[in-house]
Parts: sequence; structure tokens; C-alpha cells
Amino acid sequence: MDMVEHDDNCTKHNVKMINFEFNYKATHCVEWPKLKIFHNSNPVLDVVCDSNNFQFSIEEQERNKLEFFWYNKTQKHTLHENGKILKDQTFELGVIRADNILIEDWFMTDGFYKPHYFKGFVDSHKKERTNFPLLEELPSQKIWHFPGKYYFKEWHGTWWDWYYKTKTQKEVVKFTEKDPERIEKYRGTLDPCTDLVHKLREFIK
Amino acid sequence: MKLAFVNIPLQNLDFPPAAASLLTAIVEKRLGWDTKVFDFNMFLNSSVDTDAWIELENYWRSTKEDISNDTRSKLEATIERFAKQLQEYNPDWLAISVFSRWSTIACYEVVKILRKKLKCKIFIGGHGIDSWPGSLPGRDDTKKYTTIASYLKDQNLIDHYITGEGEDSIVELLSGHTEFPGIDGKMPRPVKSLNDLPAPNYRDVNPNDYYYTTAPGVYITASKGCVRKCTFCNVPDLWPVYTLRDTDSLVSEFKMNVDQYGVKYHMFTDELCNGSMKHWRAFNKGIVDLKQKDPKYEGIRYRGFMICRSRKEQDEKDWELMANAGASLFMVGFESYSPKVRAHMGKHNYSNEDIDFHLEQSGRYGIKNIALFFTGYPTETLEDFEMNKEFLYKHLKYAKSGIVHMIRWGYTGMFRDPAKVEAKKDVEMIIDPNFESKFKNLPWGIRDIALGVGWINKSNPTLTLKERIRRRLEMHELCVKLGWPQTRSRDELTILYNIMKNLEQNIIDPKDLTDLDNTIDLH
Repeated sequence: MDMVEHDDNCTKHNVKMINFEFNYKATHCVEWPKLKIFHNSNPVLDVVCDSNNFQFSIEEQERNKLEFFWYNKTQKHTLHENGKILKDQTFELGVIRADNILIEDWFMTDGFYKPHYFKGFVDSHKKERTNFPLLEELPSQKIWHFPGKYYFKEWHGTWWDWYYKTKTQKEVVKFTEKDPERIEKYRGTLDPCTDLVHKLREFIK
Repeated sequence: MKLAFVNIPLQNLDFPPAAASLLTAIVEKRLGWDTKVFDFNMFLNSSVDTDAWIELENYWRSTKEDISNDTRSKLEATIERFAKQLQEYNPDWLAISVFSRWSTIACYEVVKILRKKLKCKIFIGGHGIDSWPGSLPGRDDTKKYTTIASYLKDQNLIDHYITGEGEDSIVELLSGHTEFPGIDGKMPRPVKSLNDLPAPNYRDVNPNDYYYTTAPGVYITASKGCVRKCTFCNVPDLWPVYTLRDTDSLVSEFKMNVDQYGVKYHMFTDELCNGSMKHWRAFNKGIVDLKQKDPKYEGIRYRGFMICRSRKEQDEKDWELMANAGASLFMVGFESYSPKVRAHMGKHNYSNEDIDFHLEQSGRYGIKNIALFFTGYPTETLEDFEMNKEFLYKHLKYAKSGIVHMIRWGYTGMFRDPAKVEAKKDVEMIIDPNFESKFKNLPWGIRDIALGVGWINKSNPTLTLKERIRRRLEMHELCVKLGWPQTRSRDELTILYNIMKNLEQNIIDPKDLTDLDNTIDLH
């Protein structure tokens, strides 16, 4: 998050870019996994996953949707012998950082995944799993088996404002009924204490 | 022989009490006594309704001077029922842990009933026993005493008290050696070794039965004392020698807590975890090795206080190691973003770039921090003050991401004992000799804080009490505006309000001062 000089609206106007770092583990079979990254359907990066992380920056919009498209894996990228996988092209997502800060997993796990199933898999599924339809959309997971599109949790407005709000909504603070000030003790507060501030200002006039 | 150990408010409900768990284990091991921990804090919480609990919390914290009749009835009935449990145990000795200055009122309320109900000897210990007894409600006979302990002993409400660390003193007291250091006002002696101590005993206070915030946890101690000598801190006085515990025994205690109680979360009681980088690395490496040996230890996490280290003293590998070991949250006294102010405090060992590095690495590895700062330090100029504001703007992303989990602005400059702060140049503290008389009604519960603000630094005369409060309010409002979660800000502003509303002579403006030596505006 780039900050400019102190002004009154730093969370509103000064944020220009957000920098992402995605860490991963990938395995090679014929070739490495290749991903295209889109921000609000606009291409951001085309990456060959032959290392352990990639980074990119995006300019934030009012609504932001991040999408990864694993586009090169086909059936030929999995080598079998007697029903056993000998070698496979795989991709496993690791930690994600925004502006060099580790972010929580829900940014990914709250998203979803539209796999591009291989024809052989679809045929086999139809034959063997007649009571369970092949889903077009799945909850996101860290280990990716099929190529396809991976959608991250959509955010609105400034990343860090949205992140803070979403994170605090997700936090589970136990026993608040036993300790009514538990949330304030655990997480702090943005309470302006307007009454006290006003009264103290009167004293120092 | 039997020892009952009582834990009282004000203490958190998250974890079992540290002192009770450790000291009963020591008494069992060294004296072979039967012991039992009775947690009155939990007992009270489960006995009274939410409104009464909140009212009592405010009462313990001295933010209100008395409680309603209804709440008093509930409190006293609860203590009476609690006393019956103690009577059934029929101890020979009763220990009461007075955790902090906010435990003194609870101590008084509890002991005045227990004394009548129990025939055993009673003693108290803990940081809170040195607090001034003037905070006790509705009493005019307390003012001449310097500590709550001396008052209670004189009133025959207790038999003995232990000042300082209890690890050795409790054994000596129970053995009849009342001449031992730390007992009944004798100069305490720091514990000789942390390596000979038994593991705390959670038999009566199972961590899983506590009202934990995220996961059950326990306190743990790796060291005593501090490696710094800061002008505002009394830790070096209490523990002149920084003492470390062997890392093998520390790691073993982590392991035992997982094995015996399924508890993986640990809160260090240490003043600082990273006083010795060699020791700190060895501990973290030990935990990482433990996790690698068996996946059942994978979820081990810890939190504690730490000092900000310089880049020379640490690198990114240290942060990676801490993260892998389970570092979850650190409370860090950055104190000021002005290097000049920090240097005066005795915190000259790190630069602003080191603070930036600390936050950057915390961010990279997802380690949270509670950032502790001062505003209104005696040498703080407006330029220094602006630097603290700069910190808030510059590092806002760490607040929004939760990496700086909370921030706290300290007690707006409370210095009753100016010797340490004056030992360095640029400070000549003038303490208003008549300050106490300027209160129309001194709030007793916070008397020490109230009297602690009656100063001015002759070398920085525009930093009056009014100006210190102005700066404190400005930091509070800026934090709220930018979105920095604060901890205990309302409590502290309430204390300031209670001081100011009772301070009558508060009208002199520093610009009116012509002869600083004769007339000085301390307010």
C-alpha cells in the first residue's frame, strides 16, 4: 500500500496499488504448470510455475475480483502405468502475502474453483459415480488437481479496509458472555470515547 | 500440613493463575504438603450476573469508588459461599495472590470475610501488595500506611506477607523461617535459579476449564528481569540480575502441557522473551525440533513481551524460526518513534529502521504485535510528538492487517520518582510540593497516578500537564480516525478525567511564567 503525505483521508484516497505474492509448490511433467492471472477480467500476469512464488501488482478498483486460470494442463501431463500415477503436473498454493504481509487463508478458501475436467475423467466418473454428479463449481482448496479457473474472494474498496473488516468478522472470540469486555481486550477498539474526549478538552482549554 | 492457595480478581479469565499453579507445585515438591488451588476469580464470575461482574471490574480498577448495595450483597454472599469451600478443605495456611494494584480492593474484600471464617494462618504475596492502601473504599485509617500489605498486617487481617518473588520465600515462611528475605517487609532476594523449579500444577485449575479466547492456554516462565534499564521501568530494581531458564526444561514444559492437558497455547510471563538471542534461538529451535518429531506438537503457539532488536542482532532467519516455533503475538515497547526520546529512555539500542524491520518481518510471518508507546515523556518536544504521528501514518497497513493488533499510549507521563529520568541530561524534574492540596477530592483509588502527574521538566517547560493531555487526546483521536485499534484507552482517559475533574488549581498558563524557579505551571 503506497501512502502519501499525511492527510485526512489516507485510507480513502491514497491507496494506489496492492502488491501480491503467491507462494506455491509445483511439480513438472512434460512441462511446468502455467497460470494466467486476471484482475477484474483484465490480464495481469502469465506465469510459468517453475519456482516457488510469483508476484504482481494491481491497481485497486471499487470492486476487485482476482482470478487464476491454470491453462496448460491436459491428460498428457499425467503419466500413468497400470493405473498408478508415475508423474504428474501439479500445483499447490502456499501462503499469500499482500504488501509483504501474510494474509489469512480465507481470502482463498472463501473463493471457488471451476475445474476443466479431462474427458477421460468425465467418462470414468459417469460410469463409476452414477449417484454423485460432477460439480461444475467447487470450494477452493490449496491443492489443485485439474486445470481451470480459481476465483478468490471478491473485495470492495480499499484492500486493507476491507481486509480488516472481513478479518474481524471472521474472528471467533470465545466466552464473551463470561467476560463482557473480552472483544475489547482481545482485539482492541476504535471507540472514539467522545464523551471523555469532550470533557477532557474542556479541562485543558 | 495443608496449604490453600487463593486467586482473586482482577485477573484474566483466560488461563489458570500462574502464581498459584507454580507455588503450590513448589510447596508440594519441597515440603511434601498437601495443597489445593481455589480460584475465587472464576468462582465469582460464575456466581454473579453480568451487570454485577462489570460493576465489580470497575470497582477493582478504581474507576468507581463504591458499588451498589445489590452488588455488594452478591459479592459478600459469594465470598461467604467460597469460604465454606475453604472450611471444608480445612487448611493450615492460606495464601492469597495479589496480582497487581488492581487486586488490592478485591484482596481487602476477600480477606476481611475469610479472616473471620477461617482459623488458619493467612499470608499474601504478589506485585499488588506494594500498592498504597488509600485505594481501599470507605476507610480513613489507611492513609498512613505505605503498602496494602503493611496495613492488612497491622489490622490483623493477615499474618504475613511476601514481597518480591515467592518461589523461595513461600517455602521458608511455611517452614517457620520468618526472618527470610522478602517476608514481612524484609528486603526480598531474587530467586536463585529457575532451573530447579517444578512444573506448575494444574490439577485444581485445568486450563481447559478456563474461559479462553481462542484456545486453552497456560502461563510459562523462561526468564526473570530485563537486559535494559529504562527510565520509566522498575523491573531492574525488582530483578537486578537477568536470569534465564535452561531451554531444555522450557521445551519439556511445553511438551508436558501438550501431553498432559492438550494445551498448546503458552503465554510467557517474562518481562521480555528475547533478552538473550542465543537463548531465544535455542528455545525456538527446540520447539521446531519437537514439532518435527511428532505432529501432535504442531499446533504449539506462544505469545509474550519482547524488546525491539537491531538489525545487527537479528535477521530474517530469526523471524522465520520464531514463526515456525509458533510465535503468535508479541507485546513490544517501542515507546516512541523519536530516536531522541528513546535514547533518553534508555532505549538507544534500536533505530526507527529497526522498528520498521520488526514490523516488516512480523508482517511477512504473520506474527501479531501489541505496540506500546508513550506520549508526554518529559523530554518530548512537539517535533518528537510529530514523529509518533508519523508512525501511525507510515505503518497503517500493519494496523489494518492485524499485525499491529492493538496500540497503547501510556500513562501520559506519570513520574513520581524523578531520579531515574533525571539521571540523564535534559531533565530537571520539578515536582509540585503542594500538588496534593490542589485536589478538592483526590480520587483515592488512583492517588498514586494522580500525584504522579504533578511535575514539569524545567528543560522542557511547555510540556505542562495540559499539554500532555492534549497530546494524549490527539493520539487517541488520530488512532480512531485512521483505524488503529487501541487497548485500554477508555480506562486511561477515565483516569485522566477523574484526576482533572478533582484538580482545582489548573488555571496558570505557561506563557504567563516570568520566573520559572519561583512560579511554575505544573498543570
